[in-house]
Amino acid sequence: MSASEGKSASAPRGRWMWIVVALFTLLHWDFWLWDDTTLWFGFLPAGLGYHALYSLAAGGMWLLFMRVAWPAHIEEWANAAPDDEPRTHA
Amino acid sequence: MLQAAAQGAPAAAAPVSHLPLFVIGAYLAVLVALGLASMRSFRGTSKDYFTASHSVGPVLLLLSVFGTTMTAFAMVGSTAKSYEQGIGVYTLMASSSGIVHSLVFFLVGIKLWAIGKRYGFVTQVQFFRDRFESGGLGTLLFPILVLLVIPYIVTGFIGAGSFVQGATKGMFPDTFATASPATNGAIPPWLSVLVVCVVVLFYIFQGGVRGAVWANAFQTILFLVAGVTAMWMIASSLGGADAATAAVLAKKPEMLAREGQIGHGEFLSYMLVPLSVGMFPHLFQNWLTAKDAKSFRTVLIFHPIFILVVWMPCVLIGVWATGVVPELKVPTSNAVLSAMMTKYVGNLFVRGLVQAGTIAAIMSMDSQIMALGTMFTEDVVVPLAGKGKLSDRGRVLWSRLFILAIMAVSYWLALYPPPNVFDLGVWCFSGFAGLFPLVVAAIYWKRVTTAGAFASVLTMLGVWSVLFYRGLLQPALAGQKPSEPLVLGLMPVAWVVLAAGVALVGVSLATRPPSAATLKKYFA
Repeated sequence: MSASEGKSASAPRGRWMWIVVALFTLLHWDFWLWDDTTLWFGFLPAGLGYHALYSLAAGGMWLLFMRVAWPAHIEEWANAAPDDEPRTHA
Repeated sequence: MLQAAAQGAPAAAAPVSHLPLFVIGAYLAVLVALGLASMRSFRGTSKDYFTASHSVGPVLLLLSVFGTTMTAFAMVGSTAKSYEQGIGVYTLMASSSGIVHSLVFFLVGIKLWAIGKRYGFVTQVQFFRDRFESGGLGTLLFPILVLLVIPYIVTGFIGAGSFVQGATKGMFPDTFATASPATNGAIPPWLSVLVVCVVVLFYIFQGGVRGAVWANAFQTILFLVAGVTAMWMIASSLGGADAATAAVLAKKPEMLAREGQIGHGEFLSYMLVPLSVGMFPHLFQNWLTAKDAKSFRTVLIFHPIFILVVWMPCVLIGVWATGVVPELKVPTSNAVLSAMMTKYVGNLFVRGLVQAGTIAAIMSMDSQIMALGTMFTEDVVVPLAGKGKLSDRGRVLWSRLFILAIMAVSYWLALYPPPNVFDLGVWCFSGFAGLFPLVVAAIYWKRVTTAGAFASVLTMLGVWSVLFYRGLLQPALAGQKPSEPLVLGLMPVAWVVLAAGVALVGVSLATRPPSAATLKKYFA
């Protein structure tokens, strides 16, 4: 286990990333482009171009999220022997 | 020749090549081969049949999860809806899914993978039964999940039928003659869907979930390439992307913006629709196949980008279709994608490949079918037979029998299609999204109770049923085209999620907390 993973096992890290996720989600609402028919690069309507960039940026944001807020402890928990057998509630 | 077709020359008299159909046939043959290959890796146990023995790595997990979330809804449905509503379709479903899907994979997917691996759960119902200490909750959830998945499968069948019909127009004028020029000589949906069913059944029966994962991975690669190629070739035939968009700007400028097409309330409430992935039974099963939690990292990062690669071409093709002269003649908007390919992708071999890629996206409903078979076996047959009474072989057999039954019902329903697969898909997703508060509470909220869970599920069912009847069923039965079913300016999903959430919290706070043993098991 790496040092950073060891640190995350004791306490969730990178909680500030949730603020980034919330702000990024707000940016999805591009109300200022609602009636804009300007074409980017001569063919891409502004509303569509913005959301194409948004999709790419979403990938980047999750990459950052993985680096600073990955819950490394979950692997250990999943592989640990369970305290009890799954109960049947049929 | 393309120019002549675009100008409305009498193309019906010209012989239509069967080459694209052979390419599609070759694609289906590869799927059969994958089914046979996955059978060689099958370890003979029900655990392997239902979870691939938790052996799937990051790349295969990314491809299979993406493939299973992108179906006819993504390819055929998005093009059809863009043809009707313009570019806003991408902003409603694609970019929002990019952020919300990955968020749900992180918040729900990884946790459920961990819980499933630790305690050996194979289905959602098993987890909910145990988490809420209630067999009754599982009994309530099972039919609801099945009823919500079936329309999703049906959208795949409808998409396949419409697409193949459009793609093979004029190929068999003697065998499949019809009065409509839009369908004359085309392979009818009942036949193409039947072939799709047989192929899907083959590779699922051979390799179980591993067969579905491999097929989905292959299909994902194919339809990622197909969408971009189709967009590029169609744009070239229309005189370039600039000319294609300029034609729309001149003829239907409203298609290039959202003013008058989509309200802000509708836009914002659409963000709740992708929450549905948190309760898809097939995704639950896909998550369980993951080798480790790290495998999810690739999924989270690349999922939004893959959505861009698939949806952008489809939306642009749908929008460009509104600007072509003469106007596109299609039986329903579901056939827009195939009609654009047939009309504007000149190279027959490439056209066949692109069409095969589109069918690949449509056919990725295999995981949904596989999940239903697993649920029936694990949630109905095994509890009825008694713990340890059913052999591994018996479990696999029951699963296959139920899959056959589901395929038959879905096939029959697909013969009576609604006018737009997109709308049907959104209704299914809205129902699943209504169960999202339940799964989040089950994972993160210690105070949620069994009564609260029941209240949430029943409220979701009630609100969804009323809105579904009012929004889709009633107009369809009256022979009218359903309009956007907004309630106070918001999509039905907003009211379904809100009502289910309020019921969950309200009833939970008013009832007895869960046992200490359960809390220790899930929150220690």
